[in-house]
Order: sequence, then structure tokens, then C-alpha cells
Amino acid sequence: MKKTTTLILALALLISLALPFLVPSGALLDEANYQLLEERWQEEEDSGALSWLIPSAAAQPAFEPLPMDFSPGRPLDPAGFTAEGYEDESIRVQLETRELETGKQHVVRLRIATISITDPSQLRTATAGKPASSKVALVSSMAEKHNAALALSANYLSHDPVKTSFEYRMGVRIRKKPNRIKDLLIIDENADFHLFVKSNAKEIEAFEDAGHTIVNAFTFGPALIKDGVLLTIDKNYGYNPHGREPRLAIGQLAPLQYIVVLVEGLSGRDGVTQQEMAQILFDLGAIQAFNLDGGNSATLVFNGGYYQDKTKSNERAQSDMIYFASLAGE
Amino acid sequence: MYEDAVILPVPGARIYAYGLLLALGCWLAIILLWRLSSRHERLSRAAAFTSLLALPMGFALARAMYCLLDSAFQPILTLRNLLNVHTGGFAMYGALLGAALSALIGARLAGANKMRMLDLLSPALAAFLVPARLGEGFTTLGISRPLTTSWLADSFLASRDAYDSYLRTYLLEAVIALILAVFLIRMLRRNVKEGLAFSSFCLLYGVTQTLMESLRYDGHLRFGFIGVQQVLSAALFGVTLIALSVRALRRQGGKLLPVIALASLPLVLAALVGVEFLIDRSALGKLFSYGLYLPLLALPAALGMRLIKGEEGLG
Repeated sequence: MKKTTTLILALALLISLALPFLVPSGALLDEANYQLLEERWQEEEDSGALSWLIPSAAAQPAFEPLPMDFSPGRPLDPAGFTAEGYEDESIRVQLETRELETGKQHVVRLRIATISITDPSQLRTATAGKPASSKVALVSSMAEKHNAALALSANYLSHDPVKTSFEYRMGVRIRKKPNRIKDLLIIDENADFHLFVKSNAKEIEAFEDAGHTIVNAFTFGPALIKDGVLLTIDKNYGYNPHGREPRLAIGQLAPLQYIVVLVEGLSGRDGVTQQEMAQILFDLGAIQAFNLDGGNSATLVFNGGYYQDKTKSNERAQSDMIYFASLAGE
Repeated sequence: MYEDAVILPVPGARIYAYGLLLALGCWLAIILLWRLSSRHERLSRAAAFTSLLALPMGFALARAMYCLLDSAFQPILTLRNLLNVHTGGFAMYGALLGAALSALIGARLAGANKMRMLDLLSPALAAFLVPARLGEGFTTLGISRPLTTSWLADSFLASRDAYDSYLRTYLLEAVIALILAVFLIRMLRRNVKEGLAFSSFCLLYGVTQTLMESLRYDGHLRFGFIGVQQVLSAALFGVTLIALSVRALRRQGGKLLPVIALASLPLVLAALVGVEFLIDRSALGKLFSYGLYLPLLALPAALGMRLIKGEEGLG
């Protein structure tokens, strides 16, 4: 009997030798995940051809455009920074803080950034790891590495519990299932914003068929302003749409001109409703505007610090960010 | 830029460093189980069956639990992808559950005492976890949120990438597993009452892993916003504490300790949720928040160990 026991134990030891050949990681490998998603999408597609085009600039730029990939922006000119923003020959960032009374004794602080760029490639996104990875980093750290003139958190892509979403980062498709209850922001080859309310696949197909290239896409929302029209926010949209929460939104004012608004309470967890946020952006002249992840995710980074009441110790690490880069540096 | 899994440079073979350390963990566990059971023939046989069964069962359950509970896998969840283990994706709790079930089956096949078999398995599982956690250093797992405390960010406990420094939580987990293995081996040497070593493992692993899962921020095994392994860890020590308390209430003797244990459990769990929010949202330093975490977790651990001690005295 002892012999049998020893034999069984020896067999168990032998079987365990298969593990080094079978188990690469406790985590799902990013490459494998991406490849399997691609296969899945391919199976679901009626027609296989999807564009992975490199966008071209709308106008002849004075500077060489940045490559449409995850490479960083050009170094910023330290002399270009002032207390009110940053400016060089390719980009202008203007910052402004306002206080706004939204009710009886209810005052919030608006952090407003208006940005003008000269080339669509200056509106960029970056991810902490590979595009589909769950890796996170501080937005402030990513901003520094990518030479961001202004950086903001996006929709915390990897943390989204609803995997039914349509996501692109710098022309790389990460997810491709439009979410029927969530709105979608697509930024095209001219860095123009296109909003899709409760997005569906047909609308996106039609958008691509019209010759547009999807450079960045974010499923989150809600869409606040579409084609100059102030939208009424669905009372059941996302998390606490009518609660007063810290919020972050990005809008387009004109071609290559953008606005970012971060609303924070004067104390604690306070802010505005999504409808109030829409009104704020509308009053500031946005023709397209889209709500991004708010609460403690809302992060606005400028010149190595925050343009908001935040410290590094309570900055939430996230998987991705939106940023504006310069073309002027060497 | 980010290596998902380290492959050892062996010509003609694809050998994963993580898998190799898992195999080393299995060897350690099997040898320890064999050593601990060698004096009793039935237990020795049960240990052999357990070793043989634990590998396939642990492997299968670790994979199944990951694929079913991780939201990143949901969009690609098919039987073919579930079986394609080369993609990576395993849940440690699945492996531990597989081993525990194997011990129960092994004990039944050999006609041995099931609780005693689980007792013997406990230090073996802890020993397995030592290299298994160290193996996470060769993957994207086992790292914390970005560190903002410079002395910690510059220490050997941190790893650095292009953006930030991260605490290598897998190192802490390996050290804790080693301490747990030594503690359980010493406990077994005292010939404690059946089931108490296993209860100690469940209680102490559950408590320490609740903290470790809070420190980990590697995006692994999330079901929506919930870290599955942290919930399982809290459930593990919670259920163990309830079981110990109920047993103590049924015995003759002082009822105060089990009543305190039962009453404190929901409070501790609620406070832990509160501290988690504090860690995520508050401007308070993370070290301060984790300073609150430690006494909160020490309470159920101390109460549970006191109940085990009480039961041990009766054995």
C-alpha cells in the first residue's frame, strides 16, 4: 500500500510539471484578450472591412503633425506657461475659475479651460498600458510623460462595468459594441466631435460610410449639447444624473477649438446635476458637449499640477486620459 | 511596453515563469502534505489522492471561476476560449477551492477523517501560495495603486514603469503565506482538535487577503466595480468567525466572546466598506487609511483566534 501511495504522489509531482507549459499568467493576457475580441467581432460582422486609416490634417499645418499613435506630444516651452494658461505657436490653453450659484446658498466652482490647436493630431488620448489593458496610472503621471499642455480624465475605460461599449483610442479599436442606453462621443480625423445619443451600430456604420475615420470614441455621457442644441438629460441616465456631483465635460466650440469644464463643490462631494452641466457648457458657447466620468475620477492636469482642488494622494489612478499636445517643441 | 507574461529562454519550448513557480508551489505543497501525513496510513493515502486530484481540480476551478466572474472575459466567454488556457486568466480562490474539495474526496476514498485531512492541507496550501505569489512578479498582477509616498516608491517593495511606482503586493502576500504556513505547521505539532488548523487558515488567510486585495489594484477578477477576490476573502473570514461563534454558543461555558464576535462582524464589514471609500475618495493619505484598516481587521482575527484557542483547550 505504501508503494501505491508513493506512486500516486510521484504521479502528482509529475503532473504539476505541466504547469510551466500551460499557465502564462493569472491575468488574462492583453494580447490574447485583444486577439479574441477581434475574432469575436469578425464573426459578428456582416462585412469584414473596417477602416484603420490614418487621418489626414484638414488644413496644411505650419508644423509637422504628430503621428496618430500613442507617441507623446512634443516638449512644451517652459516660457509658454503663465498663471492663466499656456501658449506657443501651435496651441493655446486658457484657464479660468468662476464661482456659480446654482441654488439657494449653493455655490460651486467652475474650472474652465478653453483650448485652440492648429492641427487635429494635437487632440490625443493615452492609455496606462496597452489599449485594452486594465493597467492604471495617475493621469498626472501620464500627462507628464506625454508632454500634455492640458490633460483630463476620460471615461475610465478599463473600470467600466458595462463592457458593451464602443471605444477607440488613437485609431485603435478597443471595443466595438455600441451601447443602446448610453451615449457616444466620436472624435474624427479632423478632431471634430460627433455625438450619438443612445448609440447604435447602424448610425456608426453610416458615419464611417460617409468617409469619416474614428480616431477616438468614448461611451459614457450623457451627450449634453448636440449640434448646438441643448439636450434634456434622461432622468434615468447613468449614475445619479440629477444629483449634485463633481462633474467633468468636454465640448467643442468651433473647428480645432475646445472647452473643458470641471465642476467641484466648495466643500466635500458637491457639484451640479447633469442638466446644469449641460446649461453651463451651452452658456459658454459649446456646440457639442459630452459628460465624462465625474466624482473623484474627474481630473484636470496642467503644468505638472492640478487645475482643481486635488492632491496626488487622492488622485484616482485610471486607465486612460484625453490630452492636448503641442507641435512646436523640438 | 508592458510584458504580460515572462517566457523563459529555453530553446524549443515555451516555458512560462509564472507556471514554473506554480509548479514549484505544487511540489512544496505535495511534499509538505506527504510529510505531515506520513505517520498515519489512512491520512497518508488520503494525502496521495488529494495531491493527485488537487492539480486537475484546482486548475479547472481556477480557470472556470476566472472566466465566469471576471468582467473582462465576459465579451469573449465561449467554451473554446474557456478551454484555451494559454490566454491566461485564473482565480486563486478557484485553485484553493479545488484543493479543499480534493482533500474531502481523498479522505473519503481512503476512509480518513475529513476534518483532519483539511487540517493537514492548510499549511500545504499556505506553502503553495509562497512561490505562487512570487510568480505574479512575472505577470501584470500583484501591484498596487500608484505610490505617492516617495520613501515607499523608492524602496525595494516598489516596482516602477514608464509612469509611476507601484507597491509589489505579491511580495507581501508571499511573506504572509510563509508566516501562515509556519504558524499552521506549529499548530499541527500541538495535535490540536480536528478542524481547528483549517479554521485558522480560513480565518487568517481571509483576514490578511482582504487587506491584500484592497492594496492590489491590478484590475484582476473584477465583477463590475467589485473586486471578487476581496469579497471572497471577507466572506471567508466572516463565515469562519460565524461558524466558530456558533460552535462556542452551543458549548457550555462563557457566551460573551462568541456574542461579541457575532455582533462585531457586521460592524467590521461596514467599517471596511467605509475605509475602502476613504482610500478611493478621501484627500487623507493612503497610509492613514490603511492605518485604520489594520485594527479593523485585527478585531475579527483576534476574536476568531481567541475562539479557536478556547476550542483547543477543550480538545
